[in-house]
Amino acid sequence: MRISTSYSFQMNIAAMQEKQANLSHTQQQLATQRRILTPSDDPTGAAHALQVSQSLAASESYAANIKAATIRLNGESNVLEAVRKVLDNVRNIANSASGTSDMEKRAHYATYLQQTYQDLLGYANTTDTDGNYMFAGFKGGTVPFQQVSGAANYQGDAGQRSVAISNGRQIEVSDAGQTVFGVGSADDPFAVIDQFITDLQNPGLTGSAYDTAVNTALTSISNARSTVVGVHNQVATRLQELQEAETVQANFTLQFKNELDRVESVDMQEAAVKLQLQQVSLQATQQAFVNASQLFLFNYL
Amino acid sequence: MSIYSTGVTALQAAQASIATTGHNIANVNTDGYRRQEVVLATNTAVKTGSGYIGQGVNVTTVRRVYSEFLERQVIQSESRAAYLDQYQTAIQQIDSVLGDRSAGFAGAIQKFFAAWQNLSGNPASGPARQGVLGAANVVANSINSMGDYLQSLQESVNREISSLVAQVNSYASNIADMNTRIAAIQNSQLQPPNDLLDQRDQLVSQLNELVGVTVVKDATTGDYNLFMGRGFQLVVGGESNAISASSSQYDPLRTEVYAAGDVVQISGKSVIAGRLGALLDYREETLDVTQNELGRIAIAMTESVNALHASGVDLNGGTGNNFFASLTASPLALASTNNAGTAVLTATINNAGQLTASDYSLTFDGATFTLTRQSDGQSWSDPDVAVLSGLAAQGFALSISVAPNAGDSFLIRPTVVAANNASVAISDTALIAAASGTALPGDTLDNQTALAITALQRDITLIAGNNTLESSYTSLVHRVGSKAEEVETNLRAQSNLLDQAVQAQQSASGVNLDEEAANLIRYQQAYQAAAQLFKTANNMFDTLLALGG
Repeated sequence: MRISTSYSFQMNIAAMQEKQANLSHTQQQLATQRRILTPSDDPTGAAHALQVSQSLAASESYAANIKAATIRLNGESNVLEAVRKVLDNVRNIANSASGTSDMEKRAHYATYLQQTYQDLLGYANTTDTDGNYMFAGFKGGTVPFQQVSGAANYQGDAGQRSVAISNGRQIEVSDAGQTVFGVGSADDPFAVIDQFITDLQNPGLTGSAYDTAVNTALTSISNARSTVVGVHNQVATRLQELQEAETVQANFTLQFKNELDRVESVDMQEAAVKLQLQQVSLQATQQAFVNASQLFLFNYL
Repeated sequence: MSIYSTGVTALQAAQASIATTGHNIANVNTDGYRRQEVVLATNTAVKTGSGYIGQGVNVTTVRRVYSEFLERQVIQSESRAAYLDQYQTAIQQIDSVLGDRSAGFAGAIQKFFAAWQNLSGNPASGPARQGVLGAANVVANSINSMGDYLQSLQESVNREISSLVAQVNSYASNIADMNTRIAAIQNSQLQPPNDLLDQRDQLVSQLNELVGVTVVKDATTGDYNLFMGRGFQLVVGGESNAISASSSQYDPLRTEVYAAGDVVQISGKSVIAGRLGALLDYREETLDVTQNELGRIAIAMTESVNALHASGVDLNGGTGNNFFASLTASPLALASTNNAGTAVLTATINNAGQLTASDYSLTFDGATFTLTRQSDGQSWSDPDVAVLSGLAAQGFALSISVAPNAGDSFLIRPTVVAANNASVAISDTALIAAASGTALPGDTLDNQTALAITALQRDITLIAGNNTLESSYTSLVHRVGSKAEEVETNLRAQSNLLDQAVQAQQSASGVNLDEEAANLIRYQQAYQAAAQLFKTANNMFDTLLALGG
């Protein structure tokens, strides 16, 4: 076959350019450690990587929500435990006060209960790590329990906040003071303690009337304690779910990261070998070009 | 005496051969040059009593080595290769910017929803609110800058169309001119003007790369008549028909290709081949679609977030304003410059979830409006344009200022510029409406609207009833990436075909310097032998003279 001199030069140049382009592509893959440099390198892989990265981002968001929710509910759990202890104290005092006719002792109990009342008020008005009132419902900036002539007046609302911890699952991360402390019911511990103090300090209240008052206080405080313990149990259940959700999301995150790695990452060893081969190939083409270009009959005339 | 005249013919033949070899060597690197060769024939012999005495040689013609079959194969392959090469160059500019998942929209939208997630956990937190505004600005900017970039690609397509059209006209008129000159020479001399023929073929090859032409050779005149696309005559004999690049009848910012006189638009999908055809197809199949898809995502994001935000309450207890600047008024409704009437059409988004990524045409026949979706030709008709848009339910409502004239037409582009207008409407973090619509002042921990907005991330009703914002973007990346890959694969295959065709053509018609060197020696020897004839003849004459003395 005849060879066109000019065309054979062009072909050689084209071959070198193609080999250089291949070499540069592999170099870029090695530099970025990514197999897919543009979507056209692997459209399906690129789209898959985008999907996985979306799932990964969502999973990381959920993980952050779970972490924040756990911190918050642990805080609430501690406060509820303290509240329960306060109510236990009130119950102990009520038991001690039962049948006592000694006004001095009753006065002593009353003083003690006034301190207890303040403790309870303090817990009910606890702020969380973000500086919001824990038991104010949605009214995070409002002191929820304000003491108005003895009884506590609830200023919060019934709002209960949730956050998303997985696709389709939201978990409650707060409990309104209204629920925890039975605001408005006969078992509102603030009202009960306040009434109990008044009764203890009332010298006219004796005998069976006094016994009835003590028993009422006992029953109401027990009910209030049950409410708090009930909420506390719910919080514990949520914390347990959060712990499980954390493991699930951590697994997802790991899985998504592995998948991204599999789809996107370049196999470094394979790429390094490829780079070597491409270099050799380019050098061979260049050498062949130099050799061939010296073979001319005109050189011998 | 006949030895002298025979010697002269031999010298002339050798000279012509050496000159042609020199011409071949000189043009070894000339594009479109086909090697030439001298065709020799014996002179008519003289009849004598003892037979025919040969009278030497004559140069019949110098011909170029030209195989019509091989040339035609090159022509067929190179227009397609040029088309794919141009398409690849163009689509790479989109492919390279869409896919980066850490930068651009893909990363920005993830961070946007992550910021709302964070806010849902800390609805009263200033930094969490600032985070939402920051991430919202990043996502709006990413859509914006992508929109601006695509718009700049549109502008460069316009410029390139104009430039290619100018080149096409120049080549066409040069070829027509060549037709005239070649015909004139062939009529007067009956010998082929080889170099002019090469130049004309080279011009045809260059024009073919630009638009793809069909060459029909006139059997009598030898003229090249050239056709483009579906029968548009570019060159007929010595005449060429110019094409022009001018604004579309609907959009002054869009360049289309017209037949001379700006009457008939000839740029449609797959009408023109070559580089110009590639640009036109790329614009319609890829660039327009990318702009429309991105705009649709911008509208879906804006309107869905705004709708929830407006149902919520901000930190001041006020009802939520627009979170993103509304895009409901962003559709383009363009009247044709050919319209006889003065009707102004307005299109407004009324249901982002119904939008398609297509453009629409609206025509009026004097009684009925017809709306046609350009992507698939689906159409709807009604005498009332507002009723018509409700009937079509394509996500936009139409209204018209006055009745148009019969025959008037409009182009509706619902989503094309939305990406360029995406922006965040609020700058005060207190105005983020994270709380539910029933929240009272002071309900700083109400996060219900924020929670609802985080759920938009997984809402598959946002785009055409079956895509989330992110999956819609992923589809777009996949679509552009697949097209780019397809073009690249086809280009590789087509380049191989073209290489083979060119190789075969060059094998026949290209100059090989070794061959020319050998020929040079051969013709030099022929020349020396012819010169020897004169010496011999001279010796013979001297011998005769010596006899006389």
